[in-house]
Amino acid sequence: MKSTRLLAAAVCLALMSAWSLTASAQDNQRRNKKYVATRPITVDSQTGTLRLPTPQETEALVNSLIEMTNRSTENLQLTTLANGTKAVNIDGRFQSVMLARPGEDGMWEVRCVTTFEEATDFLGIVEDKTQQ
Amino acid sequence: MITNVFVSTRTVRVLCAALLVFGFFTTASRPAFAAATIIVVNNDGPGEGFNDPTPAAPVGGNTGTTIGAQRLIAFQRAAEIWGATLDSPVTIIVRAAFDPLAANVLGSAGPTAVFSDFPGLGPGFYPGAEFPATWYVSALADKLSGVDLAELEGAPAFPDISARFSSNFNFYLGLDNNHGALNDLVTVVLHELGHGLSFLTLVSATTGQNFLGQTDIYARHLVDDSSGLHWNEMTDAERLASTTHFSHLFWDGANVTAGVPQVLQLGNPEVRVLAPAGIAGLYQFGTAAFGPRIGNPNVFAFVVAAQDAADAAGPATTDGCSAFTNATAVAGKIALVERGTCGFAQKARNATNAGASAVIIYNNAANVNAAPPGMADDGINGAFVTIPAVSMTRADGLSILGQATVSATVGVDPTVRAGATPTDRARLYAPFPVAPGSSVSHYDTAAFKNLLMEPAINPDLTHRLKAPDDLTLELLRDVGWFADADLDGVADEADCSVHSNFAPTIVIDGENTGVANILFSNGCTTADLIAQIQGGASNHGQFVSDVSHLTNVLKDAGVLSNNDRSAIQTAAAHGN
Repeated sequence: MKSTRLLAAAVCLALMSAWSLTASAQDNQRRNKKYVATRPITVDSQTGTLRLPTPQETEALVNSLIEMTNRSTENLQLTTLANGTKAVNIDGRFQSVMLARPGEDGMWEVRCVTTFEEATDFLGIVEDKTQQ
Repeated sequence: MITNVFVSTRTVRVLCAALLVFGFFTTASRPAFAAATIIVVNNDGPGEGFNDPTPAAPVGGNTGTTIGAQRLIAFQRAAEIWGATLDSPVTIIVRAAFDPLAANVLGSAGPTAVFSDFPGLGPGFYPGAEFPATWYVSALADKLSGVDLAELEGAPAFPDISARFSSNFNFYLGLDNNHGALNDLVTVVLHELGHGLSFLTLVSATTGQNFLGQTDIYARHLVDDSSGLHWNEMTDAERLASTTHFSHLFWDGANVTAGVPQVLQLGNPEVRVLAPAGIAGLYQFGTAAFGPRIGNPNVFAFVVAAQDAADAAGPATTDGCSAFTNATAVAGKIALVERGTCGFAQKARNATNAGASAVIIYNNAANVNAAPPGMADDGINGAFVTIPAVSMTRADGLSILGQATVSATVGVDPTVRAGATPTDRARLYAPFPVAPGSSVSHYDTAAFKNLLMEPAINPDLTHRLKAPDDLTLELLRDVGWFADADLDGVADEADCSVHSNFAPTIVIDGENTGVANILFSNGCTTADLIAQIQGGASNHGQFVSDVSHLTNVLKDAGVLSNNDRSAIQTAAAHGN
């Protein structure tokens, strides 16, 4: 039991030490790009009708998607314990993200994605190449 | 429960010899319950998320009186369903919150840590990692090792799964799945927890690289039928190609494969070009939210490119936004129409009016690299569509257009199960190019019955996780969530006693011998063996004799002392 506790302590310390996340280079590249929505995915709070998200809303959504679909391994710490166990804290990364887009009929289509590309494809968000 | 199996003297000897080869373990610290305990840790602050005090009327069996309470009850229901489905000696901790997430984001979840190369450590015969150099998510690694690998005495427990959901979204919070037009929170949480419990790969979808140079247990079961290789046997480039190898990626685990015939129905939807030979084969397609289901009826016909006027409705003569000008040629054929300008349902309605037997809508230049879209109704035209409608990539559409004559089918193959290969292997979702849910951590969207772990949350899903209703549990079994009702670390299928007696000492007919009860590596305790002898003995004399043989073998092997043996034999002799 003692060895188990020592192992556990070592693993936990390794996990805690890797807690703080750092944005990956790929995430930063995405943040530096401009995106535009191509389909009405926003329900207007005033009218209740569907509309394209504003540039600000699109930017907020994209930033959120970048964070939630982070699958980077940058700065992750691999710890190997004396008994050979390897441990990596991936908290906040490798998430599955559930998205929804409204249809004309008022129903929401729901889709689970794991990458930024899947997310933007589902929501109809594309890189705004006119801004380059 | 005692397995009522006759154990002869000879069998006792053989059994004991086998047990002792693999060792034994004291039962003193064994838990006496099965299933898994899943704790939902409320990570919200006062007044928000799970603690939102907004009053709410009871709904669908959810008796919470506030929005926050109802969210927590629904979330816990999903956790309870998973807890009752899996077995683990280690409590699974889910750190959960409801936050005002960005619009269109319902939530997210995933494992917080991964482990590899861990041994079995728990009290019992936990196997540890099945494969070396293979990543396992935290909850599964804990189950296989028998201990909480991240445990630290005196420190807060480390969560196995992290989950956040949107407090802006109007989920159905009832527990009865009677969600109507709303999205059922219990179902959504079941799905996301499934990912956190190991329904995912860590392989990069953009490079094909393994996570930190090692494969993961999910990837070990992914097979591409074009090469016959498992993902762990592939190069990065091969894995990357396989990620978008539509209809060729399947799961080879024994439990899922056994469950496929119970769950997936015959009749796999497909779009297949029959001729010319140069482009013949299965094509990736998207489905429509309007018109009849594919296969209703099956369509076998030539493909004809629709022509319409370049007008205000649509500037191209290929967009199908106006009445077809070549309706005579299209009648009875499969109409091929280009995406763009007007809605999918409008194009399909025009194809219907032209007398087409089916319609294929291929991506336009603006979507040159996009996957075949799921085609939404516009609320007007869909009701007039009476023919099957499918979508296709631009490359595939242009390939068909480039041929003088093309024959194709839009229908179902009645010999293949929906979402499976012809050999009854469940397919993973791997469309080309990348599409929502395509990162192979989902079942194929063609699966029917609809499955919990498809990328879309279909409205007909139940809260059940295993065959004959679903295949989620079967996949988790394949990656290592073996059934272990008595939590001794020995899988039920190999367990000498599925519900072992873990009493600390051996008691025979109420007489406590004071002898420590031992768990052997085949999953039986000494008490189990004595109970099996008792159940199979035809009379008291035989029982005493067989117990004597058993204890002699155990004594000879050093498991029992002379005193232990005498105590057990005496108690057996006293019994009735």
